[in-house]
Amino acid sequence: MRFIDSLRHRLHSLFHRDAANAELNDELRFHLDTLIERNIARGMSPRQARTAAQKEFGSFAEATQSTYESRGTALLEDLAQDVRYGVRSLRRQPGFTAVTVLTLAIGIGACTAIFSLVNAVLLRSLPYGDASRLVYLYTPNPHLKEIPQEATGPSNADFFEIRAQVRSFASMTMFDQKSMNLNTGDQPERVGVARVDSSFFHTLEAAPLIGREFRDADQEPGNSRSVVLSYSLWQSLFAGSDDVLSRNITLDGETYHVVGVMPSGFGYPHKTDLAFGNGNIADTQLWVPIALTAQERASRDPSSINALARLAPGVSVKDAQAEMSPLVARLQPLHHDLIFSGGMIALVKPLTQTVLGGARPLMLLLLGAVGSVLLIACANAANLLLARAAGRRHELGVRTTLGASRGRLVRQMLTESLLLASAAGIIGVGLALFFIRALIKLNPGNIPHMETTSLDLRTMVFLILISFVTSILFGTLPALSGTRINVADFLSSAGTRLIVDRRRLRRGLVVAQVALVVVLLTGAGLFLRSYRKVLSVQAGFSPSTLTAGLPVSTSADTEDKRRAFYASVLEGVSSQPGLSAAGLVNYLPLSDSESITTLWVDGYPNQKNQWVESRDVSSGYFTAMQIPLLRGRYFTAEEDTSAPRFVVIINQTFANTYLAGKDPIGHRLRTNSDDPWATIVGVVQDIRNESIETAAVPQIYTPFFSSFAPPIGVTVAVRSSLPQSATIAALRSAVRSIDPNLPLSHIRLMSELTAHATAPRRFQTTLLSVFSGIALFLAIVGVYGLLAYTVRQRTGEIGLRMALGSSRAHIARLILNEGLSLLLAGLGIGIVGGIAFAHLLRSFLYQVPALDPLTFVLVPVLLLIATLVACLVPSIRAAAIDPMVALRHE
Amino acid sequence: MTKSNELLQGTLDLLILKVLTPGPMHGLAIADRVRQLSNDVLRVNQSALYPALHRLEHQAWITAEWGESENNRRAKFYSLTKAGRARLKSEEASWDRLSSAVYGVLRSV
Repeated sequence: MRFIDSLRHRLHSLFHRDAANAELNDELRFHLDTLIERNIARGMSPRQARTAAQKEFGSFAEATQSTYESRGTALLEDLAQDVRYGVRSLRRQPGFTAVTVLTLAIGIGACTAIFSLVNAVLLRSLPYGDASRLVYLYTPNPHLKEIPQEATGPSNADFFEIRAQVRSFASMTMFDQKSMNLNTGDQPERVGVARVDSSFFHTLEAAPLIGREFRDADQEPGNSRSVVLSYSLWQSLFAGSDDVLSRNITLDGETYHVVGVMPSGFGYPHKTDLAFGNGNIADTQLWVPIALTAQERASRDPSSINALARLAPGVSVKDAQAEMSPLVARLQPLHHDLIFSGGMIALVKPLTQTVLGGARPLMLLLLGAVGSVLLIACANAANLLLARAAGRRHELGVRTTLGASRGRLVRQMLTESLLLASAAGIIGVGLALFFIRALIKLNPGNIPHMETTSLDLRTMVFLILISFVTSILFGTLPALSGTRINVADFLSSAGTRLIVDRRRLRRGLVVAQVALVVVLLTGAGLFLRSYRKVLSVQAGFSPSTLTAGLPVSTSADTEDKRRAFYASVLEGVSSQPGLSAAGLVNYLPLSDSESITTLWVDGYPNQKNQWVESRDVSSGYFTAMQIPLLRGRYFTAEEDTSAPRFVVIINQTFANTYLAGKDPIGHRLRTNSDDPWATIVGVVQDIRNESIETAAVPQIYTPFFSSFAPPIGVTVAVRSSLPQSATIAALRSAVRSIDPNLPLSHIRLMSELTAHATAPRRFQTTLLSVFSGIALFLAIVGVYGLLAYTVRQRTGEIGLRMALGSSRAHIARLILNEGLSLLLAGLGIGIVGGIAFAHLLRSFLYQVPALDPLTFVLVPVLLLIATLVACLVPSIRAAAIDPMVALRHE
Repeated sequence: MTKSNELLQGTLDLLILKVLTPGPMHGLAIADRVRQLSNDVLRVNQSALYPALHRLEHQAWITAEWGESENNRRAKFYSLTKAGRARLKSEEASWDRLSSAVYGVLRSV
C-alpha cells in the first residue's frame, strides 16, 4: 500500500509539475515571510529583518532545486521538458528538420533493407533443424582437376557402406534430382522432383505438415508409388483441401498416391542448396522414394546421388572427415572405374558453407556500401546540427548565464538528435519496405532464400538500434561543440574563436563525406565497367532463337524407340510452316550444365586425364542457333537418324589448342580408348557454353545419335520468322501431334538465357550504383549546405570587402576556392581509399583491372562536376550581396 | 545541514519524524522545534529541510495538508502516517543501538 501511495505521489507531482512547484513556492514563501515577521517583531527595521531572514533561510533557489530533485522524478521531468522543447524548436525550423530527417531516413531505410536481405540470406537459419550440423559427403578424385570436387558424390554401394560403418553421423540420407511430367489436368507441367531415401526428412529434421514421411516399405521396388507434395503444389493442385491424403497424382504417366504434404517454406533442395544441382530445378515440388534395385544398391559406378548427413552430437566436421578418410581409402580398390576413383578421397563439407559461402562476400560488400551511405547521411546531419548550434549560440549562451550546466545543455541537444533520428526511423520503415520490394524484383536467382527477404522482428530491432546509434553518431559532436560556451566570452560577445573551431569541424566532416563518396563511386565505376564488358561479350549464338525443354515420351522406353521419337520430333517441328530451322541439343548453352569427357587426339602428345567439353547435337542445331561454320561442314540429316556415325565437329579453340597450324578437317579424335576414331568434319566458331563470363574452352560436338544411349530429355531450338507466340504455338502443336502428354518446359529466347546469365552482375552493379548515387547526392547536399552557411556567416565580411573595393568575381572566387579546397582534400583521401577498395573488389570484376585508369579518371571528374554545381550557387549568391545591406546586417 | 557538524545520513529524517509525533506542524515549526530541543545545536537549513520533507512524503511516512498558521497565513502542515510511526519506531531502535555502540567504543579506550 505504502508503495502504491508513494508511486501515486510521484506520478501526481510528475503530471502536476507546475502545481507542485507553485505549492512549494508558497510553502517556502511562508517560511521566509514568517522569519521576517519575527525579526520585525524583535525590533529590526524591515530591511534588516529581510536581510537577516534571508541569511538564516539560505538560498531560495537552492531549496527549490534540491526539493525538486528529491521528488525522484527530475530525470523524467527533464526528459519530458527536453522533448517538448525540442519538438517546438525543430518545428520552428521546418526546412532544417525536413532535410535532416529525410537524409537520415534514406540512410536508415537503405541500411535496413540490406540488413533484411542479409538476414534472409545469412542470418535467418535454414529450415532444416540445426542446419549447422548438416554436411555433404563427397568422394572425389582430386587428381581430376577439371572436375570440381563437389561434383562427385559417393557411388550407391559406397554410400551404404559408409552409412553402415561411420559413427560420426546421427543420420545419413541420399537423394537425386529429377524433372518429371506432372499432369495437372489441362497442360502437362515439368516439375522439380527429389528422389529420396526413407531417412531424408528425418535427416533434415523436417516433418510433414499433413500425413507422413516415407517408410522403408515405400522404397521397395515395385511398391514405391508414394509422393510427398510441397505446400505450394498442395495449394495449386488440390486448393489446400483436407482430403489430399486420399488423392493421387500422375507423374510421367504413372499414378502416385499422396502420403504427405510439407510445410510452406520447405523446398529442399533449392537450386542454391547444392553445389552442382540441376540448374533447371529452382526448387523441389515433389518427393518420391528413390527405390533402388538390389543391383543398383551394389553399384560402384559413379552416380549422381547427393549424400547428406547430420553430425552426431559432439562430433565436428574434422572428426567426421578423420573417420571417413580411411574408410574411403579402403573402398577405393573395389572400384573398377579408375578414371574417377583412382586416388579417391573423402570430403566432408558443411551444408551452410555450400549454401551461403558464395553469397557471403556480396552480402558483406553491400552491407559495407550501405553503411557508408548511412555514415555520409550522419555527417550531413551532424553538419546541419553544427550550423544550427551556431545559430543557437545566443539561446545557449543565455541558458548558460542563467545557470544551466553544460551536461544539461548536451542532454537537451542529444534529445533533439534522438527526436530527429526517431522521425527518420519511422520514415525509414516505409522506405525500407519500398527498397525491399525493389530488391526482390531484382532477384538475380543465385542468392539463396533471397525471396524470403522481409521486415521481421530482428530487422525492426536493427532499425531501432541504428536509429539510436545514428542519433549518437551525428548528435554528439554538435552537442559537445555547440555547448562549449564561455560565459565571459559570450557576454562580451567575442566568441569568434569558437566559430573558427566549429567551422574546422564542419569542413572536416565534408572532407570525410567526399572521401567516402569517392570510394563508393570507384567501386560502382569498376562494377559498371565490368558489367559493360560482360554485356559486350559475343555469346556466339543468335539471341532470337527460341528454345524449349522437351522430355522423352514415356512410351519410348527402348533406345530404338527413343531414336525414332527424336526423329519424329525433328520432322514434326521442321514440317510446321514458319519454323525455318530446328535442332536438338542435350545441354543448352548457359543452362548451368557442363558435360566433359576424356579425350584422345590422333597424332597429339596426349596426356593422362585430358578432358574436353562435349555436347550432343542434331544436324539443325548450328543453323537454328546460328553458330557460324568456319571450315568443313555441319552434320548432315543422315547423320541424325542413321546408326552411329563417327564424325565430330570442333570449335575454334579446340583447333587452336590441339591442331595448331594444321588443317583440322579429316583429323581424328576419340573420347574413349575403346571407341573407334571419329573424324573431324567441321570447325565452328566459339560460343559461350558454360557461362557468359567463362571464356570458350576446347569443345567437341557429336551427332545426337552417335551416342549409344540417346539422352533422356533434350532442348529443342527453333528459328522462325513468326511472332514469338505463334512460334510457341507451332512448336506446341508439333509436339502434341507426337504425344499430347508431353510438356514443354523453360520456353525462352536465347537472349533471355543471356539476360539470366548476367543477372547476378546486373544485381550487384545496380545496387552499388544506386548506393553511390545516393551517397553522391548526400555529399552534394553537404557541400552546398556548408558553403551556403559560410556565405551567411561571412555576409558582413563580404560586405566590408566589397566596400573596400573587391570585385564581385573576386568574392565568388573566394567562396568557390573554399569549396574546391574541401573537394580536393576529400578527393585525395578518397582516391587512396578507392585504390584499397578496388583491391578488395578484385574477385567481383570481369576483365577490368582493379586500378582501371578510366574509372580513376572519370570518378574524380564526375565528382568535381557534381560538386562544382553545389559550390556555384552559394558563390553566385555571395557575389550578389549588396554591400550596404551586408554592412547593416552586421 | 547543521551549523558545523554533519548529521549522519538519515538522521534528519529521524528528527523530523520524531518532532512530528505530538501532532501536525509546518516546516518552520519543525525547524524551530529541532533547534529548540537540541539546545540550539542543530540548525536545519531550508535547503535540507524541504527536500527531506518531500522525500518523507514520497515514502508516505508523512502526509501534508494546507492549513492556517498561528500568524493567520496559509501554511503546509505535515503529520505522521501509520507507516511513519512504524518507521520512527524502528529508526529509533536502530539509532539507540548505534549510539550505545559508539558510546561503548568511546568509553573503553
